[in-house]
Amino acid sequence: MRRTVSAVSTGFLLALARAAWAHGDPHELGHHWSIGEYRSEMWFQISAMAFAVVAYVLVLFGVRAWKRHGIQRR
Amino acid sequence: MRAIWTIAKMSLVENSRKQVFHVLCLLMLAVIAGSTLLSIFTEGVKLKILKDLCMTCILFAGAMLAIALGATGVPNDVETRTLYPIIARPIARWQYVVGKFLGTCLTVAMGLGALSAVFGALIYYYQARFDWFLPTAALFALLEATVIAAVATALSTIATPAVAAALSFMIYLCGTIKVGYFGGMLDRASSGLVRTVGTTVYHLLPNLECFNLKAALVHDDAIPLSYLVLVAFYGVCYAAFALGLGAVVFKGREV
Amino acid sequence: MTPAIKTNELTKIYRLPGRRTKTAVNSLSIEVPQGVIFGFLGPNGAGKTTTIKIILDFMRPTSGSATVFGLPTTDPATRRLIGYLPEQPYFHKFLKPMELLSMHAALAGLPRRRAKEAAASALDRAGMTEYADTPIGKLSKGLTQRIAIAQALVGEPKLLILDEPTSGLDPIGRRHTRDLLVELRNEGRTIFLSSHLLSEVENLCDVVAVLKGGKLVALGTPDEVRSSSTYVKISTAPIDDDTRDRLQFLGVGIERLSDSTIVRIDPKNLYAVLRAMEELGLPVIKIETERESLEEAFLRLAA
Repeated sequence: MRRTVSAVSTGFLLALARAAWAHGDPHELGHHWSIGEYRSEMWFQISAMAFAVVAYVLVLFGVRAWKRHGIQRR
Repeated sequence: MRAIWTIAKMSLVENSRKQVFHVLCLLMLAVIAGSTLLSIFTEGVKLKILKDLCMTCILFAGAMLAIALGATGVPNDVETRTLYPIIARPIARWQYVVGKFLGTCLTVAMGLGALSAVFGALIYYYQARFDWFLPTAALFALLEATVIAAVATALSTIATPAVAAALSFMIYLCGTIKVGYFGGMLDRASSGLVRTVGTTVYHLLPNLECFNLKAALVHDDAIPLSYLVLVAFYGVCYAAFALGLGAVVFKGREV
Repeated sequence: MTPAIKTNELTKIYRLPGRRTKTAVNSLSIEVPQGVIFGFLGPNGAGKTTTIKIILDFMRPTSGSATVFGLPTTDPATRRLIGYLPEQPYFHKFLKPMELLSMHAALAGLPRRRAKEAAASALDRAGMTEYADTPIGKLSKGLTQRIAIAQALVGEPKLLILDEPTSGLDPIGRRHTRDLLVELRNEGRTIFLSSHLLSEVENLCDVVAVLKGGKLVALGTPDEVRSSSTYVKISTAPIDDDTRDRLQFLGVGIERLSDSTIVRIDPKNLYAVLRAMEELGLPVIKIETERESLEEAFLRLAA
């Protein structure tokens, strides 16, 4: 119980301290919606994930088709 | 779907009995309640600090609950062998993983719902009106927790609870300062290898900062709807991707 | 008729640290007919649990295959036909038996209305209706074991895979479980039973398979697995070490008890041994013929 409380309290104080660093700059003020970098990074990651999923599905179908072809030939 | 929902319900009941859930919620409630004692400031600043502190509590509680519950769900079932009768049923491994993840999300939603309700009541008391942006901010805090829960659940399919929790916490910390700080650090990196590895890690980390609408809530700023829609879509995609990876790994795991 | 379980050259090799390997199951080929109680026996480390895990798709074999009622074990839908009781079952302590069984009924694919009925029916068959609303954490080990049996019965599976089903049960519980298994067998279900209580297996099982070092060393009815030959058992007075050595020279088995000695011999040596005992001055208290028990067969085959 004591360890849980200590871990939670330490983490919370760190999170609070992080908030206290913000001053002036939109980055540090947390106005990420007005910074283009955030949008572009999200779109990049969404595209990368979509590409990874399509590649995985193609590889999976390819391997299954190859196995089926190998069994038929035998 | 029924199998997933059954496992999610079981996971919710199990999680809501855990010590970490009660401790976190009670601690955050105490901080939120304690924040009302900021009488040294004038009313306008007091309200801003109240909103900032309470929103920080909600964001923090959501992340910590997601890590603590997500990282331990699957490994605990494997260790206590409660997993065996479940996967001996006609359900696929991915249904089990998704069910555990959903249970974690429901538990986090329960905790954040309680904290947000108290927060909302406090704002109504001090502003004499309800802040309609609060549900949106709380919802995006929940979405952030969902992404973290998906990462923690995925890691828990291959690692011990301690390792999964530690890695999830590191990913959470790095994800909250990703674009603001890591981006700048990478630009200044001199070595090609450091930049390549750093860029790869940079693009793999979740962009958690964009779920944090605290500044808009505190300063009554407007956020474009298109941005909110993009962030929500991104959150769903990232969570689904992380969970998918975890499901693929768990499918091949011998138990 | 399609066998309930069929394994074909099933092999499982574990990789250990330092490039070593351990063969847990070695080219195991067995067929479990439908509607029988099949005893799956072997010493610790023989490969029984590994085989069960492969059948349930908890792990994949290194080579070979397994089917359940002709269906691949790798298909989750196949497990709709299976009810599983793990060794030393563990359930969340805060759950009540009715809640646990309703959850398993839902996982087994039963519709909501039927799930509650199925849960109640399974509890009743396991003789646990009165404990339906008692948290599992408050139940004894024996009662938890019976809840686990009820859990395996939910969904009316055609095949029951039971690992040590009577573990932790008192004599009444064991008797109840034995009767239940016979009843289920008579209903046409197949029971695949792994147990160390050989006296129970002997009375219960229609077919037994004995594993040793991952290999099948015996398969058949308990009668077929036991040696068909009989032996003669002579009870006599307690003997000293010198007498024992002289008797053992004749190739007999000797068991020294506190108040008597049991001499086991091949029937064709009976008169020679009786003459030797007369010369040694040993009285003959009792002579009887016996057949090897399943436990003795097990020790012979697997020890």
